[in-house]
Amino acid sequence: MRRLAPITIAVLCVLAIGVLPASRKPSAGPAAQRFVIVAEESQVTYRVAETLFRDGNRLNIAVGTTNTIHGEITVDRSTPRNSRVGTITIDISTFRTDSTRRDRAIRERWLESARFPVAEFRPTSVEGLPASYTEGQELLLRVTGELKVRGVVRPTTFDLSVVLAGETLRGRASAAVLMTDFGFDPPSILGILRSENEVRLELRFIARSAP
Amino acid sequence: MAIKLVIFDCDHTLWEHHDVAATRPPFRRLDQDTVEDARGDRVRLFPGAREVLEALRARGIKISIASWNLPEIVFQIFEALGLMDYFTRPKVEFHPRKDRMIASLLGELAADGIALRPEEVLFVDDRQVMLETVRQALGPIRTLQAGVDISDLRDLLAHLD
Repeated sequence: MRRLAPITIAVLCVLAIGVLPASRKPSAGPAAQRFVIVAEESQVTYRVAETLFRDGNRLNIAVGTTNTIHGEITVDRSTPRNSRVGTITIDISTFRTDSTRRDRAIRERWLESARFPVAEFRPTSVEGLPASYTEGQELLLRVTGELKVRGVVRPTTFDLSVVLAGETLRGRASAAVLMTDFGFDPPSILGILRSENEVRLELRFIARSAP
Repeated sequence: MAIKLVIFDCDHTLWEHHDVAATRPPFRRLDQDTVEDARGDRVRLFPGAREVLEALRARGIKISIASWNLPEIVFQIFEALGLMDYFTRPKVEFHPRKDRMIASLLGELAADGIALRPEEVLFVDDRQVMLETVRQALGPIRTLQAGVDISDLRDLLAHLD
């Protein structure tokens, strides 16, 4: 579960980026409009399956969430493929589950997010951007980029659905990653629990037009 | 050409819940068509859903699932509602690319000796983008948008021939 937190962060970043074309820094063209992610209305979630040995080997899903996410996207409505996404950052030390004990272990022992609280996602490509866009149309995109967690950088791809309507950009992104790809082993406590290696990351975000 | 396979989405298509990924197992069955998660969040089949599944099975039409969701949760709901036996190779995966899910499903059915043409497949989903993506990738699969093309799941029974 400790490793899950890093992955989750990466997912959030990717999702935000996925909203539009990939780019290290948003660049505003004449038709560009800047959108800023509204942290209070967005949420990053990680889910990891775990087997609880003391509960009849019951399968549980650990769910951690945070809304400490920052990023912005520049949208070109007339030429969507010119849109740009900036670096997305997430404070992974703020992930919370239903267990304060689990959260503390993630912050201090496994993920060490107390020492490395910031995760970054830098997009490098976006697939699926259309040549033109109809207001309110839902798009399915694939966003690939470099996800950095605890100093480990991994190429990561997220699937993203996004809708632009007026001054609001709304999206949901998901990806599955492996803890071991980011230098962690799945949490395993003898006689108590064993987590799966796979982490499902999800970002639901709202970004609003800003000056 | 007659439909031989009907594929359903789950959220807002098969049941009245916008996102069961946010629910928390275990699930408790409240009545024939409703389950409740550990926090009291209810998932209820749309009216006529079970009737449609039964009618499709009675006609010998295969039924499957293509859902962007968490399989651990969706399958627990299916089990709690007693629906698992209706579905052939249901696809519940953590990404929105239902074209890939359905391509995989059709490949597995073909390997089982059930080769289907796209025109023999009906895909039902509440989101237009999902229907378009599947048609673009897999050809002339027939589609219905839940809540738009049909207001009641039972209406799909008129689209099988």
